[in-house]
Amino acid sequence: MVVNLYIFNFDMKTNELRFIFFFLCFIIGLDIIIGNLFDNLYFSKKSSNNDRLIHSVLLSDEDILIFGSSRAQHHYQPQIFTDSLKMSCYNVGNGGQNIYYHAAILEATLERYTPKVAILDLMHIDFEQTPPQWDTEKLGVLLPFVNKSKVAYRAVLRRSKNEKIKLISNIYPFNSLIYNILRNNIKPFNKHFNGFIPLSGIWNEPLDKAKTTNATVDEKKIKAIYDFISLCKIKNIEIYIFVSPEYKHYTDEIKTWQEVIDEIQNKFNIPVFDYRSDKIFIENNEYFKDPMHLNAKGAKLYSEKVASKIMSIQNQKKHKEM
Amino acid sequence: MLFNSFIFLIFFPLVVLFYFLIPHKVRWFFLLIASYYFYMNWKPAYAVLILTSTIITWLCSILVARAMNKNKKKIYLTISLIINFGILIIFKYFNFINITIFNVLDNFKIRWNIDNLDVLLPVGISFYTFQAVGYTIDVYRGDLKAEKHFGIYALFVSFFPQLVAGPIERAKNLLQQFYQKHDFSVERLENGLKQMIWGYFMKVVVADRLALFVNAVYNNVEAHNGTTLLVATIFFSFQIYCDFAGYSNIAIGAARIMGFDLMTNFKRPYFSMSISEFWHRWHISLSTWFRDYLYIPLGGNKVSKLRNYFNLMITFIISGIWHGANWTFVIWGTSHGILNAIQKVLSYDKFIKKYIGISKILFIIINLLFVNFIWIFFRANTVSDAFLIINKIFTNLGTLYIGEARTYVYGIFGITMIIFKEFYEEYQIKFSKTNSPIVESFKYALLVIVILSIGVFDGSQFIYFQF
Repeated sequence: MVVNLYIFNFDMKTNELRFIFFFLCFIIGLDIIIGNLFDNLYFSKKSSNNDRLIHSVLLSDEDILIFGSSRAQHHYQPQIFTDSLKMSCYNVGNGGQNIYYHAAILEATLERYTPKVAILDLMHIDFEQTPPQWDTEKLGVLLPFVNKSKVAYRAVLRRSKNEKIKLISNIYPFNSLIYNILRNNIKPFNKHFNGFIPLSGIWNEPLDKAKTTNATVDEKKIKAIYDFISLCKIKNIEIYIFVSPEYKHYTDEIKTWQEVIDEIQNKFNIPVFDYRSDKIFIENNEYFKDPMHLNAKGAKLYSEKVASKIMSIQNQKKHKEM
Repeated sequence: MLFNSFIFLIFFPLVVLFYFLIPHKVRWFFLLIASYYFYMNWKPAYAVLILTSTIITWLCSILVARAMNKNKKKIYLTISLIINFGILIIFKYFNFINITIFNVLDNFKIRWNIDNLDVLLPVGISFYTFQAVGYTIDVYRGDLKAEKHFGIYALFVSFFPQLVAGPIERAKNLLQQFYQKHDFSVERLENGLKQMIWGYFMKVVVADRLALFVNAVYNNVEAHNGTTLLVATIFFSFQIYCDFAGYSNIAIGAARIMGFDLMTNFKRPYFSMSISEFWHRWHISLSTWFRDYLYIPLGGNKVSKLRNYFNLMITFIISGIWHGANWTFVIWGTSHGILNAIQKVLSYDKFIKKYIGISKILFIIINLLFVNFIWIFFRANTVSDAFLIINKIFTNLGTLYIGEARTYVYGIFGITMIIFKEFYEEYQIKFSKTNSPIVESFKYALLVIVILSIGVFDGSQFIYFQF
């Protein structure tokens, strides 16, 4: 059969046309088969970080949830909170993530149940303007969940305006995950304790003299922080905001930080605890793995301090109520 | 607009569709608009530069063609060269020259108080400038008639598939193709599509994946040992090749679908046995540009041996500077020049021919080691970084930094695929005599699936855009 349009003039029987036809068929077929295979494999074996993610997005049912970036993930030991506050606890912190991710996890949680306490560990990437790859782009970690959680789907759409079209592909949500999926299925391992990942090693370098720059505040992120707090308040979740210790000596006034903290305290009447320059930590390098992260020893001490702080606030509240 | 951006995947099919739907008479205009739109996606203001370069070279070439005596021709050519290279120098080299003068004078306690320019480097400026200048020189030499149709000429300078990173086309090859009527061809669509898919594989699966490791290491040289730096350097050799050859493949494939044949830019360069052979296989459109418009006018090899070595050195040094305004590129170009000259002195190519029977692979590996070593200067952020890397590679080996294991796994998988494909092409090995369309389509569909599965979709720039 010969198709003879104004410009398209070709023989339908040619090998080239067969190539195009089969090429498209194979792409569609392989995308469906392999995409579904990835999906099954990803959720079949829970191991390492995907175990934490699956629990955070789909399974958590604990009383206390700890939100934050790698500093939350490595600094808050749930067992200490459970022992002190007599409540179950899970650390849903995730390395490199910012407030957009924490908010998505909170929303996904609220679709299933309402936790009693939320601890939000804040750091500068939660409110400062950052390069795109540190912004909503980071929500890509939720891509495997788009068919399982409406919140994850909505969150992923914030990455770019083309995300909806990209999600036509079944493989795309598992982009770059094939190694982790295979490794998890071949040799599953877990190195976390209710979401907490302890770090080993000691930072032996001298104390950093850090100058805080007055970074530009990202209003969208500030709004996300406010929304996070408001949502907790609406749902009657006790919200505590902490800033973890750093092995850095700030030599000038921390304007941006202070403004953000003051604003949160004034607006919501909630305490914000800033441990960044806490003397106990800053004078002991043995508590740090690197200037931004506590090691297991430091995390234990810090978790005890945070738990005790929360306990004292809860006790005060009880006294007032009585 | 980047080839590896989502918008290009919408832009390109639409351009192809409309290109074949509209009458031949207006296609040049449509492609011109599409090309400027493509370019203006970066920074619209820089379209003024490309338009200026187009107007100057077009006008000067017309004047050169009309001029009755050689002196006048020379004047018009000189005007074109000064303006075009002037723009290039201001935008690309001004700050480098300014800082160099400042540092030199500072040694003599002389103050040099000219501020650096606060401008972004226009994408692809070196590519389109060389293409446009090459055309003017061709007209001056009488190798080509001056193009009277300004629109067609503007399209020649701005043709979007090869606008920002080549191949640096010759007017003799490309210009007349804009006059030809191209009918839609399924055969071209198939071939172009295959080349584009392979280009995307090279870019997003191999180059961008390796870049994650290379950038982490090369941007923090002090923190890494020699082993890690060595591995990063080897990875960079593949990264830069796959980044650039990947771009060329996408460009050539895209043009082919629309009916245009662009020149080959890479011919498996890492299978070269000598430095001179490497330059016959690497960035061919640039190396032939330098050969035709610099090396041969300087006398080429039709001069004394000493002068020939001098010509070689000049060509390679300028080639280094073409790549970027940094001493690292100067050293990179000079090193290639020196090695090339040494191999010429030693009649290395004759030596290879004599002993090729013993071990071709040995010559390939030796050459690869040289090329690999010199890439250190190309990638290092500063000259001192480059020397620190070399020092560490030879004196401070240690445990390899792994970072993310998947970067290694995907990167090495990609490198292996590249080596296999190029090996089969180099030695013309075929699995089967007939190319069944089903098998072929399955192969390329699988490649698309691999791209979707392990490609890096962060929309990263192509390395050569900065040149």
